[in-house]
Amino acid sequence: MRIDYYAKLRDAVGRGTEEVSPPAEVRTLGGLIAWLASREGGTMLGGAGDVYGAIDDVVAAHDATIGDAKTISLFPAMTGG
Amino acid sequence: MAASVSVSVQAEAFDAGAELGALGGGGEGGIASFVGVVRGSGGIVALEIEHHPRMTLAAVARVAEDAARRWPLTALRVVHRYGMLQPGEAIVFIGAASPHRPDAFAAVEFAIDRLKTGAPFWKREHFDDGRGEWVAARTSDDSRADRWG
Repeated sequence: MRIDYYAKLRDAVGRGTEEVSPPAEVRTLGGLIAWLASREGGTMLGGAGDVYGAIDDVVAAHDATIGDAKTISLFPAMTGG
Repeated sequence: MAASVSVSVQAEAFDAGAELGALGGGGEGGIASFVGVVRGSGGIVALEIEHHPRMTLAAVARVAEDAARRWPLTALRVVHRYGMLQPGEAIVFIGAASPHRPDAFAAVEFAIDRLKTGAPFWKREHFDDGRGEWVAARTSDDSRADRWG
């Protein structure tokens, strides 16, 4: 699946997008975020503050299942308006 | 009452006065509006606004449609820019027309409160010393968005 990073999170991770193949036990958005952070020594994503996400362009909670999602967007808290 | 709801998410600058004028065509009731402007204080030379290429327009449209459902409006217009903006430029315009002024005011305030925390934009301030700092979300914005229920 493709992971797209936005804003401060992209700076923290050091890349805007990547293709990943998480292990089968990674089932939720929160689990995916934890797995991605673990590859970085657990610090880069953690250093970006709270991480929010969307599964195939629908904002999702950390306990949402990722299933066969094609795209995961990860981003910090929104600052619109 | 079926409100005319119009939303734009764009890189191009817009004329807030013209947007307000365009809402006045109904000829009755009141028009309330809000314009968010890039601040130039504290050494800021530019405001960079990032958006999501697919999600942002739909999120802004949902906020506008929600406002039009909650209050009896004749028209609602939301314009929000992304890209690199200069101090003094308008970031966002929200205008609501209604036969009843409390409804027009409430719809505008609801819309900006909900856009602050619910629309996928991320702002980075650029300073005259070369720094670029991502703007942090504020808990007060979460409180204002939540109070509408």
